[in-house]
Amino acid sequence: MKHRMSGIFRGFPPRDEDGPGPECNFQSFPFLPGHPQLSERVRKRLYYGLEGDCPMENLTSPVADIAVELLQKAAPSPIRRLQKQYAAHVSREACISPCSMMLALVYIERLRHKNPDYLQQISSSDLFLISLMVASKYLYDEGEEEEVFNDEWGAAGRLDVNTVNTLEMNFLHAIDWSLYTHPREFFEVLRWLEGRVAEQQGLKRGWFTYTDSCVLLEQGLWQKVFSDFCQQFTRLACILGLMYLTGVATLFASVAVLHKASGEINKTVLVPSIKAQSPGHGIFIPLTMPSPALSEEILSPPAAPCALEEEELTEKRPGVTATALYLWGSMLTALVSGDKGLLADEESLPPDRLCPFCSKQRSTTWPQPGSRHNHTQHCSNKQYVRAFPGLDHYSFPDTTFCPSSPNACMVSHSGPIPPGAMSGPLELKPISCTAADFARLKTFIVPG
Amino acid sequence: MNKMKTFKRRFSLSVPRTETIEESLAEFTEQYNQRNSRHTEGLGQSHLQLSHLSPGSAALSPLDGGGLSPTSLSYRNAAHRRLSMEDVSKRLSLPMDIRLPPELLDKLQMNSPEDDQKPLTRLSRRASLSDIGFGKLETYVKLDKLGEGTYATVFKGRSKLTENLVALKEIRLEHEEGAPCTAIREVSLLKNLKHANIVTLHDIIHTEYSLTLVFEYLDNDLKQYLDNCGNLMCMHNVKIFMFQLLRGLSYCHRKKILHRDLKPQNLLINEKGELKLADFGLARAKSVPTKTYSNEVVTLWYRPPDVLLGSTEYSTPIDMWGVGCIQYEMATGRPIFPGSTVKEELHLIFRLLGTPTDETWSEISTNKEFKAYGFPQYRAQPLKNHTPRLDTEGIDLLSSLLLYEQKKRISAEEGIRHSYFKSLGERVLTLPDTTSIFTLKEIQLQKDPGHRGSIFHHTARGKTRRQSIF
Repeated sequence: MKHRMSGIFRGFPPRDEDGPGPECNFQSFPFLPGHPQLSERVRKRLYYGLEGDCPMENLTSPVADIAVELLQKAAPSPIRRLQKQYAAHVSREACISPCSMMLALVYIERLRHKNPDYLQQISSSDLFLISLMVASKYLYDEGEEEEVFNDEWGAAGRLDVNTVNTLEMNFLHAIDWSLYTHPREFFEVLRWLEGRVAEQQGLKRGWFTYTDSCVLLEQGLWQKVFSDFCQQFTRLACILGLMYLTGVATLFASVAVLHKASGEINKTVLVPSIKAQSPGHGIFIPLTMPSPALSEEILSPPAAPCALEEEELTEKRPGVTATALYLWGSMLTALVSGDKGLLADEESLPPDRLCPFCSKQRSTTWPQPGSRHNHTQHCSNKQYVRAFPGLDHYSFPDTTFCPSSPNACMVSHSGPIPPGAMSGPLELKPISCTAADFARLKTFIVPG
Repeated sequence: MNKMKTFKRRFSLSVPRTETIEESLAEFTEQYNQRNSRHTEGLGQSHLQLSHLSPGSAALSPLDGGGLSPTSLSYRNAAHRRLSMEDVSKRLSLPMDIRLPPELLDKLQMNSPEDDQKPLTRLSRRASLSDIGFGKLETYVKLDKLGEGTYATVFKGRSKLTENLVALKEIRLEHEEGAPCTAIREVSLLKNLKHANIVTLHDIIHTEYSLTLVFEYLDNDLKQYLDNCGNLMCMHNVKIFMFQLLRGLSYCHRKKILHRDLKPQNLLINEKGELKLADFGLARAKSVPTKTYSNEVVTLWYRPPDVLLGSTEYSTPIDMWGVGCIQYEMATGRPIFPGSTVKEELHLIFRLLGTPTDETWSEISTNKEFKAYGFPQYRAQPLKNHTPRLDTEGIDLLSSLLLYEQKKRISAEEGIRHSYFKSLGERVLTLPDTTSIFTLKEIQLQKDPGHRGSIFHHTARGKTRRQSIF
């Protein structure tokens, strides 16, 4: 008998597609997956194992768990209460395919709405057997020779034929013979079952496999939870990123100011070094400036290379170690004060204003508590931004230039570069950085 | 007893529809209860109500018909009653001359005035249906036997409730087998199919030893019809039958149900010319993607070549091939591919339509089965030579049905919009599902040239599964 039955419920062997593929056969119902696709999905998600040759002709333990739980809930009668052992026994003996199981669950759901009285009377073990039997009979389509008879089902469920026949009659009457199932109902049940299996297994195990997470992400509730989480996470990341950027910006601003200051003191050392740096970086300007991909996310690489370069610069100028030390000190203070100021700023703003694309808000509310020099520098940077219309459209905060793009270093030393040199977009103009230039620049930027 | 007469008149006014008797009777019981209450309210209104029974008064809307009733109370009653009348005539179908058992009347009278306004619960509805006599074998009288198969016998019968003729399909239950899969499927699918071109299942009687399905009775099947008119049908009637066939089939296919056994014997025709699909014993729903489908489907003559070559991956086009065969058969009076074995069947197909090549059937040259047969290379013959009576559009439809490749075959939905049916007018396409196309004036059967009067042979109505498979 077992042999006969296994013929009928011959699981879902992956068929090699000799003839026409399933896509064209299902052409009339484009939303329905073909059988191979469905069996693949079921195999993966209902824990049928990965071996292709493993036939899907009984219930896996996780599925049985859920079925037992559901049936006990659906038919609360204490007599012959369904146990997992019985469910496993029946499914093994009768070689139940996952499709029949899901169809049976559809029927039980239907009974719950249509005929709750019937569910009060029947025992859950009988309900399990009979719903599976009817579902398999409905699905069965293998030619006459392989038909499974009720006595075989009775043997699988340890019941005699008469009882099975009566149960069948009552079941069909109770459900009013409406066994036809719309694909939507079927896939609803499949999704529900997958979700429960993934949830339960994940909780049992303590972590979720990739498939589990995929399944759960398809579930409405989990999707919501996940998207909420994502939203919160992005918000936090935005705030942190902004804070970081502000800090770095302040740092470079102060460095630049110090450069200027030290340049006034020690022109001869500083000017050649800038000359050496700036043309090289100037090449990058036209390449990177128009790129609209500049967004908040790319703006967060660490400032380490710049800082390193800073150090190198200081090493190159052994004569100004004292200046360097002073520079570091001011950098640190600028950083600390900038952060504080920003934090206070952020808190006062409603969260939606912090979104990376409305940085205008931020740039307008940018009162830096830093030094007066700092403020001046900020203004000068803003001028640079305006010089590039494309960027102006994005209205990046001044800080955007700082650490992210290849021209980061350029910006870091950009103090001496006159705005005219930058705004002439694709030309490289020789930059002559002299004290006079600085003075002119200063008047240009801060006319007051 | 007076009340009984009123009901009878109501019923006799209603047009027979394709709703099941169960629904209509449940409706009736509700109506009965409602009316009973009104009876206590005002007996004097009953003559007024009778006047409402005339169909012409239905044109009066309750709003502007205020002048009809002298007082506001009676106006309200009239409006209410009119509404329920409409409802009755809309929903009641079969009970033309229903004879209710006296016990039921008593029972209904007992619970009338108090809880009549409440809708019937499902349980009480079912209980009252059972009281009326549904689901009981003794409600139906067996008349002549119409046909017998290995597992079912079809009788002509009469319902004691309605005095209507019914077809009783009696399936003997094997003790070990329980309810056969075919029966389970046929019933559950037919319960979902309510269409003017699909046979109506009225009732199911499930006992320990037999399962009896009560269908509406139709006089003929297409095979007998063809015999009766000497295999010479009027071409206009061919068109009407083809349209109804495609209409019923497109409804099934929309519900993702494959008939899988289309043939003239399974197309029932009544005296009005309404054609209905019957015998869903082999049908199956493709709504749940399952593994292989049996390829022992469809009577050999109407089986498509891909299934003949062993394909089990099929879908709705499996039915469309059979439609083509039936169209040919109606137009010419003889079956198109009357093979007796699979090989002969394929041979006949290829001889007429040409041996398939990769152009006409992609990847056929790699099909092992096909190669194993080693058919000679035939050229396709023009169908026009074989069906001279079919017009150009008819030939076009036929050739788009008899295509080797499933996905290229025309679908039922496209079929009913084919230019072949243009002469039937536009309105046939907008009818509701349960309305017969003969409700339209322009649709009328014409006399078949070879008609020999109504000599019906009620033999071998292939209503059983095992009969239908060669």
